[in-house]
Amino acid sequence: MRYLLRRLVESLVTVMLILTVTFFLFRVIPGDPARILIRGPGITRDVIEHYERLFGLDKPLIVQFGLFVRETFRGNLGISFAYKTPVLELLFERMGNTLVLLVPATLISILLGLFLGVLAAWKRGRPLDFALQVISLGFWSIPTFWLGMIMIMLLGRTFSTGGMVTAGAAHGSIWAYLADLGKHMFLPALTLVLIMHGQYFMIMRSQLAEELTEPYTRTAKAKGMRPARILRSHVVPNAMLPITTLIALNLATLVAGFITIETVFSWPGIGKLVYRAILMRDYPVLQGILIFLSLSIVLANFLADILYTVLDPRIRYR
Amino acid sequence: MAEIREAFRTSPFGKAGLVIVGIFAVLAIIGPYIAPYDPWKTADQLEDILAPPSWRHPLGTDELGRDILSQVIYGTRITLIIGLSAAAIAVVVGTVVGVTAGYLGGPVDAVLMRFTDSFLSMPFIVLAIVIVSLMGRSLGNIILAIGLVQWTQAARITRSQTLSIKERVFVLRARALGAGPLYIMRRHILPNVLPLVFANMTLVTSLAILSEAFLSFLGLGDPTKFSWGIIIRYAFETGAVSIGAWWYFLPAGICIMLVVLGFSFISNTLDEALNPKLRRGQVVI
Repeated sequence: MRYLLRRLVESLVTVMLILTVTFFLFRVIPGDPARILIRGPGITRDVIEHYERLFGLDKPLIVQFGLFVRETFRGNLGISFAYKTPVLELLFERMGNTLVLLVPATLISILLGLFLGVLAAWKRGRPLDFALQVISLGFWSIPTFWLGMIMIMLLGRTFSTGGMVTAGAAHGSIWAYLADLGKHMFLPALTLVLIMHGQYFMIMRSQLAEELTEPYTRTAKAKGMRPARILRSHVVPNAMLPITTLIALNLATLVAGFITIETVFSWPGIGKLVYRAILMRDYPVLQGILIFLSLSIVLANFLADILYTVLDPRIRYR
Repeated sequence: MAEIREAFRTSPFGKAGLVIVGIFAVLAIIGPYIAPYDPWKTADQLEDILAPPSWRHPLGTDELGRDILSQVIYGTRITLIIGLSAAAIAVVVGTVVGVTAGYLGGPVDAVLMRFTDSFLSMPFIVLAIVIVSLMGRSLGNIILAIGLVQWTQAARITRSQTLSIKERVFVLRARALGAGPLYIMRRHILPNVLPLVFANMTLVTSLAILSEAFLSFLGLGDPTKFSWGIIIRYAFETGAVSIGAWWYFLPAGICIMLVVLGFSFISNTLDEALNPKLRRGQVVI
């Protein structure tokens, strides 16, 4: 409990630091400081005045920061220049679409990466290990969007691309809808899995390599246990603990992949929103997404810590 | 040093990495002298627009009839400059933070490390997107943005190394003789963390090259230069995918993959040579 409490406090400090960095980034960098966020093209005078009052833009920076934190915690992330709707609404609208693609792709990547990692660690130094390392690192080295472009070129006719479902199609039943969704999802998800599994492979392989030098492995070997069994019942379970933390810590690295893959496949999620926001200089949306994604990652890390205490009783009594 | 040489001698990955990076480094230096065309020179005839590979244009041309091979060759230099400079900024910032936190300890350490952890929770690519779109799309800003978001790893690595070095006898002796913290950090700690910093820099270089490609693809590249990421961006904008103009984006992507792979091979080999945890104890099964 003490451990979780400490992690909770640390997470809250992290949240405050993230808000501080974001606030000063958007206000201290040269340009039209502060007002950059509310002076979009086509925003009416009333809206500007409302926001000037709300964020106290005539007050000192420190007061503005206080108001910014208050409004953020109230869920007010400002108004999008391009869509003229509150940023939070836009994010909630798009988040579902991103999760539909990202969650299955990430889970499959993790499972595939861990499985191949165990295989490589077991056959360490043999041709299979060598081949797996080249393949995983090779895919890891590819820019996601480029692989996506190749996928569209090679398989774009077999599978549907562009959007989540065929535009304007009337789906008779939920099953027809899901079938159409699956057909659109296959290529972007496959691209993400191919690129993302590499990092999980490397985490698993090096973690296992470390566990294999521990004395308990030697003991198991001395007892005459078969290598496959040592891996399955001793080494892999032990390695899983640090791996949950590492996977949560690496969440931030997924973001680049899904932003560009949504752009390539016109998937109407948060990534596509980022792309549009860059093109339209929609700063409130960029700021909102930065805060939103950072806080999601902090939350995921905290959840991973809770999971860790459940999995590892040693932590609970610390 | 002997360990590093031994690691590269025995590891096929290490050797492959050195060869790949070496070839591209040469290309970056002599590129402009061997490129067949000026990469900005547009076509005189209509049939040179988006032309597939031919003897005249070995990798075809783009929508303005510009030679892709020359663009890719020119792009080598820009891409490597961005990757290496961004990595240099990242490891310098990271080392300063890490060594300071590790050596001074106490509240300084707590504050700096909390800050580092907060940075780890921010999606670095979005942070870089924000920095470049606020500051403007120039080579310098891209380098700065990538450098400023990739320093966390170096900070953590140098901190933990500093923690172990500062307890060694030679450091304690220097302190007993009245050496100040700045002097000890510079003369005793820094030389001992540099090999790790260097290994980390090769990894960050590959991350930086990938980040540059991502930023360029999202339309945040420097429009006055050809980097590999920018070439792929132009191909995407032109619709090269739907018209099947594979020669437009395939070569640049292959180059990115090879260089990133080369740098990560080198980084892995250095890691194996320098990380005592990986060398310690035999593996029994």
